[in-house]
Amino acid sequence: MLDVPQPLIHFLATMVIQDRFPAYLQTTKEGRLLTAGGAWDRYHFNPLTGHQPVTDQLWFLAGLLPAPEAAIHIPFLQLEENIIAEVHIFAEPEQDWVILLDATAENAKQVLIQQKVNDLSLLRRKQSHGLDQAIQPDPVAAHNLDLPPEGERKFLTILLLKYFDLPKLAGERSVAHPIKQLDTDLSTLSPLIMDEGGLLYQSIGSAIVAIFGALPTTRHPPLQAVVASMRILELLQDHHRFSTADALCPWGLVLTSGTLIIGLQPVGFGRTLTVLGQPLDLALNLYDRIEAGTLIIDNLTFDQLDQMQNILYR
Amino acid sequence: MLQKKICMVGAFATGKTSLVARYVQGIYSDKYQTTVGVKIDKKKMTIASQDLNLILWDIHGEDEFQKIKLSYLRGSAAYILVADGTRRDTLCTVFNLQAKVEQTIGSVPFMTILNKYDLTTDWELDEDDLDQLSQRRWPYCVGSAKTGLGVEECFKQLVQ
Ligand SMILES: Nc1nc2c(ncn2[C@@H]2O[C@H](COP(=O)(O)OP(=O)(O)O)[C@@H](O)[C@H]2O)c(=O)[nH]1
Ligand SMILES: [Mg+2]
Repeated sequence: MLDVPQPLIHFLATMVIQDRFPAYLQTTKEGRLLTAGGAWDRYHFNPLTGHQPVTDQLWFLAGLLPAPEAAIHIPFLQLEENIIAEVHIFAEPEQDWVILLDATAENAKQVLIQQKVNDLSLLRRKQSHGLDQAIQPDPVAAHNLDLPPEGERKFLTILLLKYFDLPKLAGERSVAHPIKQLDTDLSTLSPLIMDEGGLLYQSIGSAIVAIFGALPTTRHPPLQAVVASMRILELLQDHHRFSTADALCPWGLVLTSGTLIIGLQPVGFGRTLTVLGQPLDLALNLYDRIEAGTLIIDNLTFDQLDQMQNILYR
Repeated sequence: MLQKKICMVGAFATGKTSLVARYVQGIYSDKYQTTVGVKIDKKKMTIASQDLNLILWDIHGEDEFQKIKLSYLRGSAAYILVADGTRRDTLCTVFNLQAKVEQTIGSVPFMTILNKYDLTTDWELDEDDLDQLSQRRWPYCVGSAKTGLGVEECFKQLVQ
């Protein structure tokens, strides 16, 4: 046992009793209730009757008693819509103990985090699943965007990807299944975009637009976009090493940054992401200048990267 | 009254919580609310003119961050493995979990439900997958928490 002074133990115990609503009970090894006390009201299990089988009254204990040698700890046990208990069960030679503590607030915090993790994981799966499902009117994406209905100004980085049908350019016959090829490439590149916190936004013809900075992230959008772009070029180059005549990656990329308006517009039963602003126009204007296997970076993105370098390496 | 503990296990977002809500309350929602920890429900049932209480343990899904604590399964009379028919990898999770569960609580009856059968266009499971289940001689059913298809039957079959 830690050597903690008595007043402190008293203080801590008072705090737990105030904040955590402990409720306890003691049962025989046959599962009959011996004693009970504490805040059972809180968990809507009152009154408890002595000498009766405890699982008849506390049905969630079915299967858990008699207590095994190793104590049981269930950090979050939801008994009703808004009541979540932390449960401890432990054995003594002649009887078993059950203790409940209120864990509703702690659970709410954890749910927030876990929900984001799971939503992003589902979204990621969806986006890496091919062209038809990738582009977004998607409740999962919308859920993660936390945008006010009237839209919001945000600093974003736009990544425009242009697909080239290289064999055709080289005068050879076109790839047998261009759509399929595009689809395979997209499954390759979309996880790289998601990994850096990007979101596939739209696809028109042979151009695909992804945005960085819309989903919750901890890093700076231009940096994430550059990292994603480099990895995309590298990986796709690898993929196409054997399929194209001059071993060139059939994708060219443009990055632009700036403040854009981003919002979710109601469409039918869902909501569709809309992005507006000069950086997007700039990216589209650069479309004709994109070359296969290269990356164009606009001034603002470049300045932002430069500034970050200064901060990092000063 | 006789009580039987039944656990729902499977990957996250396969529909465990939705299946219980459909079975116990007859309700369904499209909104996804992650379960953290365990959610317990009970449902009264009559089998061969005997009343019994099913105590349903809806356990959070298995993912990178939350591993299913196998000690939760202690005292289960049976369990239900839930896969999402639109995500093939969730069937692999089912195969892995079943082995672990059996190691922990021994061989008690179980049932596999391939959920979200209403999403026909996104359905990923095919004959080969079903063959895998038959080869293991696992009882399984397709179902949908959304439409209610197969849900009642699945629980009934398990309890009998
Ligand atoms: N279309 C459809 N969606 C379902 C079905 N069952 C669950 N869902 C959805 O799948 C998501 C995850 O369900 P949930 O019950 O929370 O999964 P859990 O993590 O296994 O408890 C939710 O958005 C549900 O609305 C079903 O049968 N059909
Ligand atoms: Mg759940």
